[in-house]
Amino acid sequence: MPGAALKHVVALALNVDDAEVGDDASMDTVGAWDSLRHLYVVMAVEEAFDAKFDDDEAVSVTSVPLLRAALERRGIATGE
Amino acid sequence: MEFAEFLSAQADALTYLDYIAAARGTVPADAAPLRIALLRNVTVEPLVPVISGELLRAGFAPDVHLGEFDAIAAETLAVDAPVYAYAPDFIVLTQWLETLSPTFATRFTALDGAAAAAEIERIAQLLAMQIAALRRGTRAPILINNFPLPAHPTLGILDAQQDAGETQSRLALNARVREIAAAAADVFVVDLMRISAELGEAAFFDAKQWQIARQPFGRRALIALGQTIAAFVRALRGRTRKCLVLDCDNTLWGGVIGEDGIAGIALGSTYPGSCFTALQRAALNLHDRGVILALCSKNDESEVLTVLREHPEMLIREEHLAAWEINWDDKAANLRRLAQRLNIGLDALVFVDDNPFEINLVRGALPEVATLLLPKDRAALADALAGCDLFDSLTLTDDDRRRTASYKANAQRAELQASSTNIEEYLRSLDIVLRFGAPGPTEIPRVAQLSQKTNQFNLTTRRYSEDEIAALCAADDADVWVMRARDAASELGLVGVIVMRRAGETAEIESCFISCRALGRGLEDAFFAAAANAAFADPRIARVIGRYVPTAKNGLCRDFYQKLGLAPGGGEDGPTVWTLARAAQPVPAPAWITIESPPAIELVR
Repeated sequence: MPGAALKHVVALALNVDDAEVGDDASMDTVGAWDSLRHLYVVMAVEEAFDAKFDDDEAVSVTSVPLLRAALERRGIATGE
Repeated sequence: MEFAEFLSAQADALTYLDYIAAARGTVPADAAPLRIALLRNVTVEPLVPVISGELLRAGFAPDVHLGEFDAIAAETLAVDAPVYAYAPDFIVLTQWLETLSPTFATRFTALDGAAAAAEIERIAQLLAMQIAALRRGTRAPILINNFPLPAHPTLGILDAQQDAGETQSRLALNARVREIAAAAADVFVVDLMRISAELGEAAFFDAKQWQIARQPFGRRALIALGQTIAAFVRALRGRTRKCLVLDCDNTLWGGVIGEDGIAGIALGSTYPGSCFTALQRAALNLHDRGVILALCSKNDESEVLTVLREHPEMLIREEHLAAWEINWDDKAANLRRLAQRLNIGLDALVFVDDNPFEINLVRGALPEVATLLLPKDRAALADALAGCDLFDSLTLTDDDRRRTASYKANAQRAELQASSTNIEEYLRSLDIVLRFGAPGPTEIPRVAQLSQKTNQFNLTTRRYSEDEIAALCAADDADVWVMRARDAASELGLVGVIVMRRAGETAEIESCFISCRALGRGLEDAFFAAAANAAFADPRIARVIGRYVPTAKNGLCRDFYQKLGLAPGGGEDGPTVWTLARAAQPVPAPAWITIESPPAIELVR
């Protein structure tokens, strides 16, 4: 998904409006983002950015900034 | 991807993101509600958007009930369990072997031969118990899964040398799963073993999600599993596609016949022609399954016919094709004509082309037609066709194997008819014979299949399983009548079914459905007459009642009972009821049709 915007992908995975996922959105700030929905987030972000998180990353990337940092460590631009 | 685009996209083009994005779409107003209960022993939440999305694509408005984590026993055994109150149309059991049997799945070396066999039987009995419990509370079709082969057998290279190694034992377990499904009514096996073989362990199994959340499936496995579940729903709900329409240039052969000539096109046993030979084989495999083949090509008809008749490497010949439209008109118009000539709906067609322009034109103009854009990589052509699940059905009958022949005869009749001035004279010349009677035991699968696949000439659109048909045949107060037909041009096979219920003085036609390839020559009228006369053979019966229940697809038979002269008994826009009272004379049938009935019925008449 070239040019994909990280926040949009997260919003799709959480099944919420894009507006609900801001720059600092996290499990603590978005009600729908629970540990089960986090599975969708990991799967959707891995697919959209063609990345594969390590297991410890997968459990810890629970916010947009953490996801962005994990992608940037792989040299992947997040489209924002 | 826009939602409308998602609905008509080619299945193999869809991503997990497309499925979760589809949750934002608006369900089309004409979608039929469908309730699926998903019971599981692992985390399968990420599967739900794929199932929902695929059912939306099949024309349903899905609702999914998710069972509690690893609580299948409790949820099936309790008569007041939520799954029964939910009243599902389909039940999907998704079970992972490691949860069912940690030792069998992960510590195989700890089991000796007898213990492994006992464990297989224990798992099998557990599945059988779940099914038996569910059957006490619901008649909905049940899907169960078999299990992927071990990617890394515990004994390594030695495993394949063993009499009952881990891989062999897994196969033995899967054989038991199949037996258990076959022994119960309307239980089907989702072939997880095949899906894992297609994707490979690395894509099939998501070790990270498994360890973190007991969710075993990689995203491509989720997509494949969801698509497979939808294929079962389509097959059981009459949404199976029937006709494969193939382009010619760069599809059936490499190159352009109009430019390269018959000697210049690529086809045969050596590359690159071998790629197209492989595609033709895949098309013939569909033909053998009962899929009708047709051509739609922008060419001079004579040039394509020359290839069909004279190219030594052609595998697809005229005899395999039910019809073709080879001309310079646009393909949407030609597909409409093909559907008309074959007397099937546009939603029964799958159109295959190598040209994105043609595919997009058809997608835009005829969204009911499923389209398959062939890959640029010619080596992948055959696989693209073989991987298409839109024709998947749950039965294979002798009639399937004869199908193209009878559709082709139909198309020929249509041409004859066009040139004939006196329609009755023409029909007489066909020497049509209707063999009327009850279905034999071997015909029951065909009767059930016809109920599931017939949409246009189907008065009440009730779908029956094989078990339901068998029960009706055995019942004292019901009759199942079938019509087998043939004429001078071909054997049509079993093409019509009437289900009748008798109560007091009334015989009611619960269902009447007839394959469209049998229509247009009075067989439906003759079939009704034979069934009504069979009902009146019982002196207690004073009237035959028929109903028409409208659907989006069965406008074709709206006036069936009216044209036969039955008296209206209520209903105008919605379902209508029609009555035929006993008369002194038998109900007449068209004069040009010979009706053969079993002797018992003949005697009473």
